[in-house]
Amino acid sequence: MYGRSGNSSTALKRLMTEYRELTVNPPEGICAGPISEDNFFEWEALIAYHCFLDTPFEGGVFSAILKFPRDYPLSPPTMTFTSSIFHPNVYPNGEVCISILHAPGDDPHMYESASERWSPVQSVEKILLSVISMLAEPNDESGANIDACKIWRTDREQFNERVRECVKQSLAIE
Amino acid sequence: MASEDGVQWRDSNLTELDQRLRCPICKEFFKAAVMFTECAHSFCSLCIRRSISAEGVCPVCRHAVLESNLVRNSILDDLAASFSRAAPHLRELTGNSALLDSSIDGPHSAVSQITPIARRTRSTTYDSDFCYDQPSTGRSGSRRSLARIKHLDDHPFARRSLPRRSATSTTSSRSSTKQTEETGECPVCNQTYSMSRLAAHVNRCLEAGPPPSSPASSKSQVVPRYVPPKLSKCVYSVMKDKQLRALLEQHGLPTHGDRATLIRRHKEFALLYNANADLPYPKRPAEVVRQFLREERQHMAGSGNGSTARVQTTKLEAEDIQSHEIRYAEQFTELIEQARSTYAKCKTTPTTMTTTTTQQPEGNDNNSNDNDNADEAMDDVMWSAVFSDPAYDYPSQDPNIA
Repeated sequence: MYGRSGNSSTALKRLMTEYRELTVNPPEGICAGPISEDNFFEWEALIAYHCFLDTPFEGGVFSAILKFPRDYPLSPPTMTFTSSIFHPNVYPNGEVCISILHAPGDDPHMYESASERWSPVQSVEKILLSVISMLAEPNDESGANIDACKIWRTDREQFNERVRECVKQSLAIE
Repeated sequence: MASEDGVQWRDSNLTELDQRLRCPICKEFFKAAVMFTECAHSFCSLCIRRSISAEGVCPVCRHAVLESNLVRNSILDDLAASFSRAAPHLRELTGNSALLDSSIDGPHSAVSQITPIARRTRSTTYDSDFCYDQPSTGRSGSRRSLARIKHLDDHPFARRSLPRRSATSTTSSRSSTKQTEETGECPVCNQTYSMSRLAAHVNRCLEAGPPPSSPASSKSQVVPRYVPPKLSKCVYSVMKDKQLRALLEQHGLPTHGDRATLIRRHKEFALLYNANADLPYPKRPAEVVRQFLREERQHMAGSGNGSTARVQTTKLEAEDIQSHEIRYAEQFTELIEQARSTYAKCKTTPTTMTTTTTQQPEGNDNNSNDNDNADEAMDDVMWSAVFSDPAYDYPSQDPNIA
């Protein structure tokens, strides 16, 4: 009933609501849910190819791990791609650098406006949609992967080639 | 009370309505809704208080806000409660219940599900079953309302709303003597009026001051809304440990732990306390203290096996409660009876408490934890069963007086 939950069970409840929402009414090309029902604070998400039509990422299926803090939704989750992905806003270790995943307090790049950042009214679905649009349109002002940034700015052909390699890897063709 | 969450609405307008009656933070139906006077965005009281204690902006529009500028938005509470009460019936009307869903296989059965809708849509309220029943049974009001209740009883979704219906039965049978006229329920006082008189009545009802937010339990309408004074914000950094302890002691809270624990405890308690004051029917401070202590205990045990146990209990909520409720109706009534008798026992002889806790079926070493979980499961059961009577004193809360 009302307010019986401490912090972490508030988070749990909210995560279950979101999981249900994503299961019953999934956005196209997105699939997300907890890895194991014993731990609702760690999710796996799959972003499939039809989100990337007309981008170099077309055809790929990328998986990512979302880790939620105990005080979710007050603090944002972190998102890490497990499939290798070559992109200016994804760190080489797979961690996604996007403003919606940054709590208003910390601003590692000192350029984001507060309105783009995390707020408790955001959700997993909105994060994934933002990540999809980020993949399609990199933001080279906040480079997480400097190599990718450079190549994206200077040699778009090579960039697309590198991305297609990732796509093949994600499909385990290579 | 995530009772109606399991199934999606087929109608996009209903989906939208459903979404709008939910808090943007917890995504559940509004509970103790409050809104900012600056930007008019509404949230559950506890959700928003927690959120602005982390960051002083409106989570929706990021307008800078002050906690003191939160005002109650009780109509949202009422709307959310009414909607979730009406949900089973709406689902039935739109052929959207999980039960119906599972039975729809071919076009034939789909058609047979749709026919009742056409028959019912002439009524504007979800009370149609009630108001339109058997147009010409004569004037013996009491007998007719009995017949209706029986009829409702056969209805698969009637259980939850039954107490409320019977409370309003006399007024509605009076007003529905002119059977040809359509009737509607006043959203403020939940009385049934003929459509021609409804608009005028609602205006009068709204002018008459703050609406009694409970669904027509005449008992609670008599009692004026008790509003505990809000706790003001403390600047913990200028307070000495001794002052902090005094502050906690003032509310009968434990004073052990280091400074950080003390501050966290008071902060969390103030959130809970102030959010309670925004409920349509706030609990007494002593009850809030009990609830807080229970949650603190739970929180301590939370990182261990407590969290998995918690998943087990909440998994139930994800299932379709309606079908669940029908399937286990007998067990639910039994549990409620059990809880009531335990409550009565606890009230008379507090010493029996120890025996009641050991009676829990899965009583093992981790006794307090187990009890909390059983308590919560019970809470859910009680909630769905006595949903229409918020003034109901939850028996399941009492075995925790320690």
